[in-house]
This record gives sequence, C-alpha cells and structure tokens, in this order.
Amino acid sequence: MANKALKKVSQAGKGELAFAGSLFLASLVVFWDTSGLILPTNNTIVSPRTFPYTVATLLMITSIGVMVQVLRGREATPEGVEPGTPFQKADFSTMAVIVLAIGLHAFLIERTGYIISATISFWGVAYAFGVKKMLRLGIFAFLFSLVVYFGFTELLDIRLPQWILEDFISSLGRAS
Amino acid sequence: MSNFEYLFDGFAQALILGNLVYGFIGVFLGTLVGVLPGIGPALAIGLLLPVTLTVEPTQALIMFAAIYYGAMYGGSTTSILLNTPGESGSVITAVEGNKMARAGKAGAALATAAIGSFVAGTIATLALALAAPQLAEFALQVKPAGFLALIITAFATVGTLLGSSRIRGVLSLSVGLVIGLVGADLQSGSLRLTFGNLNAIDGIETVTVIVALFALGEILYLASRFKHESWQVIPVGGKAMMNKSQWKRSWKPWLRGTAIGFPLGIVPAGGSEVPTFLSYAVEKRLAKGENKEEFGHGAIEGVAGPEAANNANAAGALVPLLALGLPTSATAAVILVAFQSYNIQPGPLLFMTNPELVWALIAALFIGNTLLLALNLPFIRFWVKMLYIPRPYLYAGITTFALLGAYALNSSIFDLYIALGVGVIGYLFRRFGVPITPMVIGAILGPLAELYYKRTLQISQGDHSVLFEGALTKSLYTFLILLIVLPPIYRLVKKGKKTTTK
Repeated sequence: MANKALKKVSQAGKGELAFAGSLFLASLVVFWDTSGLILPTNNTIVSPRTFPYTVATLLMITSIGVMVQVLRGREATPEGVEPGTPFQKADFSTMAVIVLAIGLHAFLIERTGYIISATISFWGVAYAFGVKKMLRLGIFAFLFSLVVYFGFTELLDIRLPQWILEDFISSLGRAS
Repeated sequence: MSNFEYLFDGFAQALILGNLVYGFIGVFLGTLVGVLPGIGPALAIGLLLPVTLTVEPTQALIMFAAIYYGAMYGGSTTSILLNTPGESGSVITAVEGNKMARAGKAGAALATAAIGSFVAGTIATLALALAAPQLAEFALQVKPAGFLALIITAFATVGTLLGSSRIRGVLSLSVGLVIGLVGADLQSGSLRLTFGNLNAIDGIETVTVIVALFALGEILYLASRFKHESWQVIPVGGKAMMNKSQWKRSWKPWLRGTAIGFPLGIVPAGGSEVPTFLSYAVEKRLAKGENKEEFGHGAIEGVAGPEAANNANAAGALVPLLALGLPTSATAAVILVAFQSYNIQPGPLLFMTNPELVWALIAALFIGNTLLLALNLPFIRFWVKMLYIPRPYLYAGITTFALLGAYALNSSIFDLYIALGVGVIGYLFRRFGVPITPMVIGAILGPLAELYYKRTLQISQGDHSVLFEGALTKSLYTFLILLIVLPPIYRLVKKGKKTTTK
C-alpha cells in the first residue's frame, strides 16, 4: 500500500517527503534532548520540559501531516512559481558553489581578516551566478570588500577582524 | 500632557537636524532595498542593527522606521517594471501594474502607487498615533494569561493565514519555536538543544535567523533556478504622473485600500498578503463597465487599492508592536529586536517610560512619508537604473552584506555557521512552499510565550484554570476555535451545495 502510494509521488514530491521526514527526525531530537534535561533541584511549578515537549509534539504532528498530504498527491508549489508549471530540477552545482563560498567566508574571517574572506565570498557568489571575466571580478570583489570594511569600521564604528592586512593598513595610515 | 502635545513635541524632536539626517538616510536606503529584488525591509534593518551599538536610540529607530516605509515605495517600482515583486505585499501590484507598464502606462502606474502609498501612509500613521496609546492603556490591565492568549492567537493567525497551505504554515511556526528553544532556559537555567556547544547557551540570535532566511535563503533559491528565468525591465516612457481620469479612478481605491489595510495590520493577520489581496478583490468587484474589462490587462484601480492597503497595513502593524510588544510581521519583529538592543521593551509601559522616543518615531513616520513622495516621483529614473545592476554582482553584494550583518552583532563565527544552516533551511522552505514569516514569529515569540505561561502558573500556584480567566482570554480563545473550525465547515457546506446542484 505504502509502496503503491510512493510510486505515484513525483520526483519533487520525493524531495518534499525527505524534507518533511527530516523535520520529523528533528522533532525526535527535541524529544530526546528534552528527556535528558537536568532538572533544577528546587521545586519549580512549571518544569523546563513542558514547553519543549509541546513544541516537539507540534513539529511531529505537522511534519507527519505534510508527508500524508504529499502521499495523497497534494505537493507544494514552490514560491514564485505558477501552479501547473512543469517541475524544474534545482541547479545544485550553482548552489554548491555558493554554500562553499559562504562556508569559506566563515572559515577564513578570523584567520585572514575580513577583507580577504569577503573578497573570496563575493567572488564565489558572482562566479556561481555566471560571471566569466574572473580577473575583473576579483578586482571588483576586492575593492568592494575594501569599501565595505572601511565604511563599516570607520563610519559606523563596527569592529571587523583585520589581521593580515593590519600592518599594511596602519603603514598606509602613517604615510598619509 | 495630551497625546496631541506629545506628537507636537515629537515633530520638534524628529526635525532636529541630527535626527532628520537619519530619517533621510532611512528613506533613501529603504527605497533602495525596496527597489532591489532580493532584499526587503526586514533584511535591511537586520543588517543595520549593529549601528544600535553606536547610534542613539531615537536616531536609529527613526532610521529603521523610514526604511520600513521606504521599502514599501521601492517595492512597487520593482513589481511594476520588472514583474518580480521585491516583497510579499507587492505581489498583487505586479499583476495589474506590470500589465499597465507593458501597455505603455508605466508612468501612471508608478504615480498611482506612490501617491496612493503617501495618502494611505499619512492616514494610517494618524490612526496609529490615535490607536496605539489607547491600546497601550488598555493593555496595562492585561495579565500574563491575557498576553499568553494574545501570543497564541498571533501564532495561529500567522501560521494559518499565510501561504497556500495551513499545515505548512504551522510547520513553519513549529520550526521557529524549536529555534527559540535553543539555549539556557530563562528560569531554571537548564540547557536545551545546545549539544555541548558553549556558543549556543545564549540562544540563536534572532537577527542571524532573519538575515539568513531572507538573504541567504533567497540567494540559494534564486541560484537553484536562475538558468530558467529571464530578467526584463520595462523602460519608463515619459514622467511618472497621471491624467485627470486616472486621478479620478485612483482616489477611491486609495481610501478603500487604507480602510482595509490598517485594521488588518493591527490584528495579527500575518503580514500584507491578506489585505492586498482583499483590496484587489474589492476593487475588481466594484469596477463597472470599461474599467472592469481592464482588470487582468492593467487596471489602475488594481494598483491603487492594493498599494494603499500595503502601506496602511505596515502602519497598522506598528500598533501591536508599540502598544503590546507583539510583532506581527517579520519587519516588525526586527524593529522589536532593535528596541531590545537598547534595553527598551515595547509594550504597554512604553508610552509612559519613553514618550519622547515613541512620539519622535511616530512624527518621523509622517516626515518620512512626505520625504518618500518627494524622493520617489521626480527621481524615478534614478531608481529605475538600480534595476540594471548586473544580477551576479547584485546577489554577491547582498550575500556580503548578509554575512556582515550575521557576524557583526556578536563578532562570532558561530553565528556565521548558524546563518549558513538557516539559509539552507530557508531555501528548502521556499522550494517546498512553506511560508517563512511564521518561523520568524515563532523564534521570537516562542520564548516570550513560555515566560508568560510560567508566570501565570506561578501566580496561580500551578492552577491551570487561570489561563482562561477574564473576558480577553475567553474571547481570544473563542476566536481561535472559530478560526480553526470554521474553514473546514465552510468547505464541507460548499461541497454539499455543489453535489446538490449537480
């Protein structure tokens, strides 16, 4: 029976089943985490477990509800897509480059300083969206990061990591 | 002092040069982010939240309010000329507005949108100035149980009214509530969902969630399908203005749109989709003769009404935010965070503890609204140019700012990784038709709901019956039951009718 229903589900519907299924698993994680909570020794009227259990139950019920809907053939319409448009496969390679660029930014920001990490993430995202002239893009990305860095640190007093370029910048400051 | 005097003082405050400059920066940035597809007001304010560390509260809040209004103006430009709504409230504008632009009437569409936004914004801000203090006074008598009921009602309406599928709305809400759980429990100090990570003890930063959802999620979604999409800006011929008959056809929809938008902003009806759709439906029904024929092919009423409703709705959403401390839209939620970063808690006491701040904010809305009209109509060509920024550079720029916003608030790499994770969740939500706003509301109001729940039960020594005591809680829960029960009954009746007519 379940197999039969699964066969009718389209490619996109299978993706949605996996999505709702992982949220179902997340609800189990919340249950598990909550059951392991160390309770305070003093007697509180409301246990710190009450609210998480409620939330986990809600997540569990709704994720099951969505799975049931998909199996009955009521799949979601992606945002901004007219109902009835043929399904288009997501462009995972473009997305992967962007995720990588963001991940690198997080990895590098306190190792190389903001300007370099932001240059790399800007470069990566623009490249993913199809820019071909790499050198020009690289120069633009660097200048953009420079402007953002000084705009935020100097004008708005927001601290960003500088490190590698620190000496270079302070030498510029001394020169002027 | 009467409220009128307070408002007058507010104007004097807002017109001080230092404050006016921030108002001007706000309307400029607001229009800019409204015009640029892919960024909305929630994201723009989220990115600028770090300025709360250095800028005075009045100035920062004036700037944020101006961004809020400005984004609404800019959003209509994009939907009319590009058919890519910059924010959810402009979806309907795109329907008729873009058709008008294709028929060579872009100027009139832009003008009716801008002037309608001005009219609606002014009337609605006036209504805000009248309604918010009244509501605040009433709210002073509301007990924790009443607030809990208000929050639960907000959860239900935001969860079920947004998007096409109710169950997906509630799913989104529950994911938000789970995010709100992370960190140390406020009262017992028990660590929840931290998995031994010290960074997670303080919980997940709301701003990080918002920035990641609205920027990174959006960018990933665009990336997943950008090879299938075209990008065509319709040039504006002539100036942004209307002829006599267009004025005549516009003014009534403006007023009707305001009347629909404002009240729906006050009650948590889940953002600007409902009022704009409703206004469109009303205009379509009221139109007669030739004008009715035009609907679907570029009717000016279909731009004028929803645009007015959108702006009035934005002003209306500030009423529960200021008077109750309850945000009903993503943008209102970010403004709440801005207040909190100054240790100011919006809510019933705000009008007593910080009257200068609130009234300067309200006055700034009036001034900003006027500035926006002056900034938009004559300079429309400048804003249209923004639509020609090459997309890869635009998206890379948005990503850069989003990552900056996520990092700068706490200078924490942990927040960047959270942003990446939440961004991926945001993409999946979009891909599978799950609305995002309920998640934001859940993440912000979830901890508050738990707090009020615990407070109520502590006062009553564990007696649950107090949760339903009082006229307010009773009527709210009744409304809630109707909201859940009525639609299925309605559908059943409709189905029954269909079968009998067959």
